[in-house]
Amino acid sequence: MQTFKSTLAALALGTAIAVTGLTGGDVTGASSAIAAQMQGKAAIDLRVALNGLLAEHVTLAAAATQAALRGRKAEFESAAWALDQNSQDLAAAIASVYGKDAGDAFLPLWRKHIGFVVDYTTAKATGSKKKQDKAVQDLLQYTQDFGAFLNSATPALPKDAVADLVKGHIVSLKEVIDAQAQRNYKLAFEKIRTASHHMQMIGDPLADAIAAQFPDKFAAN
Amino acid sequence: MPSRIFLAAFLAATCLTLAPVFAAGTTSVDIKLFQYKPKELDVKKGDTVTWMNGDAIEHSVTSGKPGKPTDAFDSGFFTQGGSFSHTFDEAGSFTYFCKRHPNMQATVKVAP
Repeated sequence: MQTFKSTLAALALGTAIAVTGLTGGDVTGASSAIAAQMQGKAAIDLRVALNGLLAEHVTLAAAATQAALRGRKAEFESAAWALDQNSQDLAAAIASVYGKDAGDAFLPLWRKHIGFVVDYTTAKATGSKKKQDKAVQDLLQYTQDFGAFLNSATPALPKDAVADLVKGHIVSLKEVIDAQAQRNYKLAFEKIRTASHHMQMIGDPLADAIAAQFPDKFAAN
Repeated sequence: MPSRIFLAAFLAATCLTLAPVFAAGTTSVDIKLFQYKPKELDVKKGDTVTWMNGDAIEHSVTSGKPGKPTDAFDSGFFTQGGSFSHTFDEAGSFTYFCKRHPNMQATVKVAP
């Protein structure tokens, strides 16, 4: 939350240029680094805040799924609570850019995919292949919803490119859960790192596209 | 005299031009960013409301509430660029939602 508050403060102070031409499909570490150099402090703060929240999302989700798989109810509930706090921070970040209504619409949409991940984890714990497949299908359909949401908010983000990136998030998180279920903890933590790093693939283009869309808020120094 | 004719012609033309506007009874609701805008709409009995989908995903306009749809109206799914119209022939308050995204809910209030 502190990071998010810092972002809000930065937004208020922001001046600078917009970096255009970055879409979900063509963002790499190199182009992101160049973009970061061209952006103002507010845009960089936004990028850092979004990436921080998205990486935290993975870490907390993995903590929740591990607790759920082992049947540690109290631990799961605490992890789920923390995960939802993270979701609310993300929604607040969205609202700070697109408005309160957009934040209100984002939160249930974001929570929806967490529900499907819980469904998958529960199915994994009980060994129900049918329910696992259903959860995966729900998650894949969800990628279309999320892609459409961000495309609607920021038309420079192509729906299909966003959907593919979110699909990567879902696949990477599924690999975490599968490794946890197998009690292969070394692999699980490797996958957690991979899943966390992958979130930058979503955070960077999102931050860049927002900066381009709202040049008054995200100007160069 | 010519000025009277001109005035009459002007008024007739004006009335013809404005007639569709005042005959009205048509209102639009935008579907954008997974929201119905406006979320609450006031119309009169006999008015027609048109929903236009601006999101790149299918939405529906279904009367009732999630899990408890009514048979007042249901657009079925329609995607970006598509629209759905419904004429409200009865007064009352009509809630509606999207079947794919149940958090999307709004209301049309129809005055007698």
